[in-house]
Order: sequence, then C-alpha cells, then structure tokens
Amino acid sequence: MTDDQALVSRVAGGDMQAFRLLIKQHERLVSHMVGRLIDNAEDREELCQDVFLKVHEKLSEFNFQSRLSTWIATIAYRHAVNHLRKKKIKVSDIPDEKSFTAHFVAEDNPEERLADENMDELVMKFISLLPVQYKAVLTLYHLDGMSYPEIGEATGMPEGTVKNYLFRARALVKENVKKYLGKEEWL
Amino acid sequence: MTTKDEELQNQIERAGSSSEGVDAYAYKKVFDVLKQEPDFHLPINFADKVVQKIEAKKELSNDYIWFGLGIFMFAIATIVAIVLTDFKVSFGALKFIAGYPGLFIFGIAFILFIQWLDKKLVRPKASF
Repeated sequence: MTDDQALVSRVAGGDMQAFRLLIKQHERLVSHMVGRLIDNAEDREELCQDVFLKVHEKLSEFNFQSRLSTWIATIAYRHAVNHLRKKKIKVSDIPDEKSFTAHFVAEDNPEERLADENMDELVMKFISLLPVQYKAVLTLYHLDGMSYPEIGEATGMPEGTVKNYLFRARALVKENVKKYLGKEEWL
Repeated sequence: MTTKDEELQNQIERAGSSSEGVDAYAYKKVFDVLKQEPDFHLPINFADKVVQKIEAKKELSNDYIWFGLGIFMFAIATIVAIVLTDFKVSFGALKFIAGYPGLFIFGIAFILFIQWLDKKLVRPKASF
C-alpha cells in the first residue's frame, strides 16, 4: 500500500487528522493553480477551501488510476475555470494564433512601464494576461513539476495540446519581454 | 515563434542559459519568473479552517435528520390523536373572531409592532 493509499483510506475512515495532513501536502499545488488563474485576491482563499471540501466529498470515489496530486489538480483546475465562467470571464476559446500574437505583443511604451515596475513584475504581468489554459499548463509544468501526461490528465487536454500550449505561452511572453530588454539597461 | 524558438526553449530547459542573443536572454527571464511562487499564500491555519467547515457541515446534516424525524413523529402523533379522539374539523373559533373584526386587526397590528420594535431596538444590541 502506497503512502497515498494509506492516507486516503484513513481519511475515508473519518480520520480528520489524516485529512489535515492531506491538505498540508497539497495546499501549495492548489494555491499555485488558484493564485495564477484567479486575479481577485478575495476569492482565492475561499476557492481553495472549496477545492478541499470537494476533495473530501469525493475522496471515496478516487480509484488510484492516477496520482492523488494529479486528481487534486484536476479538481482545482475545474473549480478555477467554473469560477471564472461564473464571473463571465471567457475561458472556452483559445484565440487564433496570428491575431492573438499580434494583440498580445502589441506596441506600448516600454520606457514608461519599466520606470514603474521591475522586469520580474513585468514578466509576471505578461503571464497573467495569457489565456487561462496557457496559465494552467505553465503552472503545472514549471511550479508543480508535472509531466505532459499528468498535465493532460489534470486539464483534460491531449498531450500534444499541452506541449503546444506550453511552447506558445512561453514564446508569447518572450516576445513581449524582448521589447523591454534593451530599455532595462537604460534605467 | 518558430522551430528556432522551440530549440531555444529546449536548450534553456536542459542547460540553463548557455545560448547567446536577445531571444535566449528573454527566454531565460521568462523561465526564471515561471519558477517563482505566486504572491498568494494560504494562511497557516488553512487546514483547520477546512476541517471546521466539514465538521459544521456534518452537524448541519445531523440537525436536518433530527428535524425531519421530529416532523415525522409529529405527523404520526397527529394522526393517532385524530383517530383516537374522533376529531372533526370545526371553524367555531374562527366564527367567534369574525364577530370582532377590530380585535382581530388590533392583534395583527400589535404583533407587527412588537416585531418592528424587536428589529429596531433589541437585535442591533444583541449583535456585536
């Protein structure tokens, strides 16, 4: 019996101390997903609580076909997407590559922006402007160290789509960062 | 965004920033920031808060069970009482009230007045 199996069976038996441990082990994963996908700070903690309430409710149905962390990431991703839909934020369509690239890498005033923010903050801002699906893939890959198949399982995307989104997302942010690199040295 | 980009991404992922040029440098920045934790952190007592919510939910569902059981027992007791006492529905009391409409209106107005006083004077003091 793996650690996950032992923990799940203890929680299923009503052991709340075991559930506390499960939360501690996975709260970073959930807070990464919610923190990156949801902009409103007031909604974030409540959403994380809802994710773990759902985990507790559905844990008896978990059949160990995947890792426990992947299953929890699935719940966190769905909750975040449903929350955005409720707030009328469009999440279903990934825009057409050419038009989105043109829009995303639009010219503005790099000097002015760099005076207000440092480069890391700017990169973070560019990441926050990406479509939800891109942000989810980036978060699971770079922050949580998940593999392509695991990300596919957590988000319901085919593995090829995961790879494509990961590549496009990083390339889009890079294109924006390039505009600011020369200016950074002037300031 | 070409295969050159794809190669650069793979190189930086494998070996950090061995490549040169503005694209490689920009990618290095992007990869560094992607590894940074978001600003959002959960409070230390987050797990306790979730467990408290689950326990409160359990208590609430127990309350509903007892409430349902109470309603069921009341219904059974009412049926038994009707059967045993041969009770017949009568509007005698209501006919009595129909003879005193002023008293009826005063009663309703008085109850509404008491409710209003309770809302304005008593409840604000009780909530702190």
